[in-house]
Amino acid sequence: MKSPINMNYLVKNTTLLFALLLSGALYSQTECDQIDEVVNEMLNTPIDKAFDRTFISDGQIYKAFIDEDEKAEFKLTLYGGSTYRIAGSAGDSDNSFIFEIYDTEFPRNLLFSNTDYNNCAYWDFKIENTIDCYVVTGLDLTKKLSGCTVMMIAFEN
Amino acid sequence: MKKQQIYNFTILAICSFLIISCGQSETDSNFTEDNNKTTEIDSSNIMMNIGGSIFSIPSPIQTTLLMSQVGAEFNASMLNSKDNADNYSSDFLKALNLGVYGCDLGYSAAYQNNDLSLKYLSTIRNIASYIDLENAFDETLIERFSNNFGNKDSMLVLVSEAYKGADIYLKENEKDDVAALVVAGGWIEANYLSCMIIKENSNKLIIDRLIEQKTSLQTLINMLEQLGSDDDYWDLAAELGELYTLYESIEFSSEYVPPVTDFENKTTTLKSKREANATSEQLNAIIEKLLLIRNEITN
Repeated sequence: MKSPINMNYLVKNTTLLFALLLSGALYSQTECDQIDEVVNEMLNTPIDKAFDRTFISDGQIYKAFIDEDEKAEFKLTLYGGSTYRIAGSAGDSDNSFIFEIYDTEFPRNLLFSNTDYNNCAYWDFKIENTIDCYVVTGLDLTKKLSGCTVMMIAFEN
Repeated sequence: MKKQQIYNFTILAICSFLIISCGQSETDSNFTEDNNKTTEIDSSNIMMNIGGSIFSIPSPIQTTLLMSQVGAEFNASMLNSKDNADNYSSDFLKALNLGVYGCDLGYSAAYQNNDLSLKYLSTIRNIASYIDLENAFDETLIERFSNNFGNKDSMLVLVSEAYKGADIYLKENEKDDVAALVVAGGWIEANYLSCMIIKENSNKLIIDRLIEQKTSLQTLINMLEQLGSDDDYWDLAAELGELYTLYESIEFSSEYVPPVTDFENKTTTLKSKREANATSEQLNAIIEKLLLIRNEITN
């Protein structure tokens, strides 16, 4: 037969465990929601408006919760004759979001890395010929070890 | 005391398991900081996004804009009839046709057909309400859309933003399967419209755009297979798989050309070359299959 002390201990710890897990999940969700807005603003900045440039979103959002040395990757087709903007953030002001673009040759060729440009949060790409590529995203571990990352892609009309 | 230690250990083990499960990886990819700008594949350290792998499908609006830019004549009869919306009884068909109608709206807006655009927006709003997406296509959107008649860019930005809002909502609410259908519907409709234009007038740029869909199609199939939640998804993925086999018969070649970066303007020009040689038989087979798939999902 279990003692009342053990029962209390069980209830307390179980409650604590679920509270921790729930607050962690809610924090991650809130963190991601806030980043959505930050990235969205990068698609059409005041400078773009001043120069009469309009970027139209591809209608999708690319989110990943990245932990330590993990990377997220996806394949992307960029149409020839177009200009694209790729923007991303890990939700802070110190540019901890990194992204790289590779072609699909074997072995792959690195076409761009924002780490060469101070982890710049957005970059434009003029595409001469339609190309399939891999986008690889991660965190600059010198600045952030884990967290939500959000990326958006838009094309210029 | 010993029991308490075992209990503590169990709690710790459950926590560890849950934390590790949340960050488990899935894709088969790679990353390196190779200074030679060429990389070998390391399949460790890969992760998945919240709700699965990341899938990117090009915007259908981009293809409808190309149609207007190459001078293809506006043809409203190609579009999915608004009256069909009442016939879509399942959530599967509603979500799929939400994507179809979104593309048709983009097409109408790209040609600045304001009346038709507004009618499609109204149809979209109606169908969206059945799958909990009324907030993404609310009255304010219709009002803002109407206020921007004559400004094609603003109209297209509004449509894209509304669909992005729907995508965000669905993914946040763990309805990635529904989000996948909306994207799939848009992809099918955009390429269906390309097929119809090619059938009428063999425009090279539109043909190229259709042939360039091989990778997107593969992504679409993977997305439906991975995120799908019932037989309807697998059936659609199988149909698209048959289309993909037609693409596989086409010869593609590519050549790496180093990119050029303009640091001041934060712009990189990707100059690599790619060619695809499709015979008219291969092209016709793709067109026929696409028409079939599109008609199956809209009728």
